[in-house]
Amino acid sequence: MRRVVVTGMGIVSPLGNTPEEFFHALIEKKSGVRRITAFDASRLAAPIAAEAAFNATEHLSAKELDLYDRFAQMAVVASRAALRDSGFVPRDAERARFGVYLGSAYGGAVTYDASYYALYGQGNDRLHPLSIPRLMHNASTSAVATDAGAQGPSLLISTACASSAHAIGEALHAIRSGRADRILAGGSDAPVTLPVMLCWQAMRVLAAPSNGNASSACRPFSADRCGLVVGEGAGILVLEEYEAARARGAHIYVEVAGYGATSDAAHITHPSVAGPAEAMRLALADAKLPAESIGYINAHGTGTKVNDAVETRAIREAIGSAAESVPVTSTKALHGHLMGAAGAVELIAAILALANGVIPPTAHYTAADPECNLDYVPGDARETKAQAALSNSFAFGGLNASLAVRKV
Amino acid sequence: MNVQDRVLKVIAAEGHRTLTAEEVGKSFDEMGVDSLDKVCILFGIEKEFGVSIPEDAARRFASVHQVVEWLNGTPATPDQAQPAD
Repeated sequence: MRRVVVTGMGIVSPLGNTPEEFFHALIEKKSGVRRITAFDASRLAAPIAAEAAFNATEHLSAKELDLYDRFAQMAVVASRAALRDSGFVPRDAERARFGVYLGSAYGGAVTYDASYYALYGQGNDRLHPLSIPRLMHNASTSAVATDAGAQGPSLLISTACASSAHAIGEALHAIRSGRADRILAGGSDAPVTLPVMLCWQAMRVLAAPSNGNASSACRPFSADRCGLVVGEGAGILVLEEYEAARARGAHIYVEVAGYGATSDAAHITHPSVAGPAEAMRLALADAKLPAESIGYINAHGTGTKVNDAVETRAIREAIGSAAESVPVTSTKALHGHLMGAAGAVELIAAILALANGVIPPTAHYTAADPECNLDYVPGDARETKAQAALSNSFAFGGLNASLAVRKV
Repeated sequence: MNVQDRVLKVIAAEGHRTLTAEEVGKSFDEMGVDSLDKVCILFGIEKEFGVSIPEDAARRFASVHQVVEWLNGTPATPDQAQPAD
């Protein structure tokens, strides 16, 4: 079977726009959650989010800025960084086997907002001619494919919070099956708009600042957790067939060894234990890794009451007694919930944990919850000799993805 | 600023091209303006001049010069148009 490895990574995040900056912030517990600056957030009960420190004008031409919604802008910038990191410069003969698989939950949310404001707020029936190319969900994939000269199979996967984990998993299969040799895989989302934030607020799952402190509002697995914080960003990885990567002398971060995907087929928002547990089991079986070999789990860990308790039970069900000793952390405490980009950005966190031998802690953890009884690495970062890791992403709608990576 | 100068300003903003007065007679094809560029430029012109360009005229325009001529023969009717952006 063809093996697939990661040879490059690019990121746009609330914690910085290089993998090194991002990982350093995770280790140092620097939070990217603060008061919203993108718009007047005074109409929100909790006017906070994890906005990316991203100024598109520093990276893109006037024409690109005009053509791309913020979610596509972030995808293009992250993909350029990932390609630079990988050292892969496609030759003409390689383009047909070079693809782009990205995830996005919201597509062009900023464009939708501007268009509806013009339409309903200003009574204006004449919308910008680029509205459709800006807002279509596949705009990010198309922009990246054009920018990178990738002419192979390309897709945009929209499965809410699991979008980019599914995109990476499906890209793994596309390379394994021989349809492509290299794929830019990951995702991006820019959901920090007033309407999207108000929709989340209506579900009563958003975290509020504690004692006026926005930065520690998201407290995954902690007894006092009070919800999730919406974030924005992009995470893109260069997935490459192992022999092709070796042949060009590429630096290999990890092997993407396994992928499990399941559907709860139950409640639209309340997650099941069985669905996520089976996704993890499938990822391990696909990777041919025993549960005991997993040295780190980057949890979905949103910080909601329900998710964190259910995910805890699912981890126990999936890996049995190995759950007693495996470190499980949620980096969302610091970078927020990047929605369609979450799976990719958190996989990058897991890869860097293996590469650096350091497990980022679960920040803001203050008190144990009897329903969350795993080792969440509260306190400080921890050294590790872990050789393999899992990264979980579970979407509203009950669509689950788990990715297994191991050192090569 | 005369009509032509205002059109060139729109082309710079919406079409991302800087044209000289001598280039105004060129066709959109010669300028490398594709159909999407053209609708963006016409959108900008509607906004700049407060006019509504009918579909048949929009399809007929093959050069900047033709657009300028049409604008010179068409009084501004701001009430008919409230362009967005």
